[in-house]
Amino acid sequence: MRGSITSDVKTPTTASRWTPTAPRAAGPGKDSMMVHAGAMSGRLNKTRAILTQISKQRLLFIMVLPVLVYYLIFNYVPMYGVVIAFKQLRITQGILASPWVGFVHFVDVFTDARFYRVLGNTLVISLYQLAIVFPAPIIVAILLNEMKGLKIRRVTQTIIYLPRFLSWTIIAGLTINVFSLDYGIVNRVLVEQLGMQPLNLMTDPRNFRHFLVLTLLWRATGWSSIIYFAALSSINPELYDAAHVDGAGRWRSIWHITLPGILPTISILLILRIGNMLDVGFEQVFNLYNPAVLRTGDILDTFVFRIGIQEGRYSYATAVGLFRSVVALVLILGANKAVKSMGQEGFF
Amino acid sequence: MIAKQEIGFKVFNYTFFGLFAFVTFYPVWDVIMGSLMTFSEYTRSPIKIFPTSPTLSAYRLLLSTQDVITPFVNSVIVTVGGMAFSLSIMTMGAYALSKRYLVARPALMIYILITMLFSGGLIPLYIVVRSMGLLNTLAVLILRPAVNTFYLIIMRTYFAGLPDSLEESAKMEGANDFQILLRLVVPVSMPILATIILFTAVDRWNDFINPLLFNNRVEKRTLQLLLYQIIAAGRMEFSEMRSELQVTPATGRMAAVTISTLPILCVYPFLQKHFVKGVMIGSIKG
Repeated sequence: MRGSITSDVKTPTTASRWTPTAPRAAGPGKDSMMVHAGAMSGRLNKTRAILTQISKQRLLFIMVLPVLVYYLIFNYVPMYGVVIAFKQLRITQGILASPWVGFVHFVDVFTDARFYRVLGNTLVISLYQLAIVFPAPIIVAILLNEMKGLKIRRVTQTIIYLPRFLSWTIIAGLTINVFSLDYGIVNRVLVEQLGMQPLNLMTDPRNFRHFLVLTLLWRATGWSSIIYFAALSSINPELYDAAHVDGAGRWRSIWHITLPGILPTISILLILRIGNMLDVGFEQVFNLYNPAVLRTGDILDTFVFRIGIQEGRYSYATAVGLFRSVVALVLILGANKAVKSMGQEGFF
Repeated sequence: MIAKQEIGFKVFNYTFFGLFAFVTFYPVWDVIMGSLMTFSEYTRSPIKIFPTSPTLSAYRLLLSTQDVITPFVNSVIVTVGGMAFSLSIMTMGAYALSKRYLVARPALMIYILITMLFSGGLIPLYIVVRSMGLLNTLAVLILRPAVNTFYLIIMRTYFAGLPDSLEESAKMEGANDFQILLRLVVPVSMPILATIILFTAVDRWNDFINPLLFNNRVEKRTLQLLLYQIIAAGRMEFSEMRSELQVTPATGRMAAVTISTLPILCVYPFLQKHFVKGVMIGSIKG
């Protein structure tokens, strides 16, 4: 799959070798000789050799410095900041001076019924998304591939990729026009045209998860189909001709040729999706939810935001966040292992 | 038999995508047309095609209830400034990291990739930003999302694929790394840079979480946050921001949605090609 996409966009073949373990090729003559010399003599010499080299490459290091500082400030310092979960944070004293309290906040979290409610919501919504939103782009890509008119296909693609570029705030604005009980299109058609009961998706807790899945389906399906569409174009067209000669209809060709052809892509994306299980989408939920639907719609991320930023219970919210980060780490490493065991290059 | 099936399939397929395109595009159309109508015309029929007598009253309504100009200007500053800053530091970083002979390159890559595996979470980040005095500044909206690991790796991959001879001959003539990057590498990397510029600009324009967390004062807010507050208040539901906003009428809200959407809608048809290319390159390493 990777090979085909690579050739599609004319990315050089060195492309896939970005992993940190990739073998280092020798650089311009002098530099690599310095490394050799350093390795042969003692440790001190080696350090000195590395320092010499760094000073030789100082311009490159100056170039990469802003990026490294960025990660330090916005990723590594906050990573250290998780100690807040084990302290009683006094915001005026700062993190360092605040007293340690051990696992008090975790006891609070794990005995809090609200925590289990948001954890449950997160998992249920995530699985619901997995069941509906994951397969949709596969179907769309297959059908799009069967569309033979090139021009109309391009117009279709342009339209269905659009929602990816609209923010969830904009989409929240659109959903009011579509689903409002007073003047939304859907309810007007349901009530006035079809004489049915109005459908309350936005503020009825029983319907809110459907609302989340529906809006995500609307936003993500077209865009996510791109990667499958690319995988489809690498299938050998002769296979279809052969199947046609054998009298196979379109559905049989799709079942026996198309699907197996994109199966590797599907399985990798599925594994990655499972690795990101807890990431239901803060922006989506936050823009669409309201107090009426908290019971079914509140997720870990929105919970952390409300408890932490709005109620100011920093330590408690950090403990919830730390729990989430640790579970996510385990899931991602597991997913990576699964990808590797399928004979694909891992991600880490 | 097969021919019949073919026609049936074609009808099904075109109907499916016709409906798909309609469902995708109509809500956007509806809100734009709604912003050009009076509310009574908007509610006349469920489907709107064109306003019978276009009016800008919704925009006047919006401007009279909200200060839209300041947020709009803030959004433009953040989009342009953020894009320029992001692109500069990511281009330099990606270029340096693309050099195989860079000392400690594997260690630096691990340093960067670890951040994709584990995060400290929302609250520690908030406290860091707060303690740096960046709360309620436009600068935080430029600095905090400045590096995107995914884009950084795409750029690095691209630079690594450029022929070494480019650099070697320039070095021979005494050019330093900055000169090589600026005069030789950037010009031949325009396809990838254009893609990243577009993605970054759209990301900044649409940024919601950073303004929400770090810059939510009324006088400093961006367009997305104003829109969020209008929508939240207009739903007659709670406003997370506890803003002192007065409720904006429905057509005024549609005008606000339109103003936030239009810049993207205008550039989108021309840029879609780049976006698709970007995701293709990105999909090499998911």
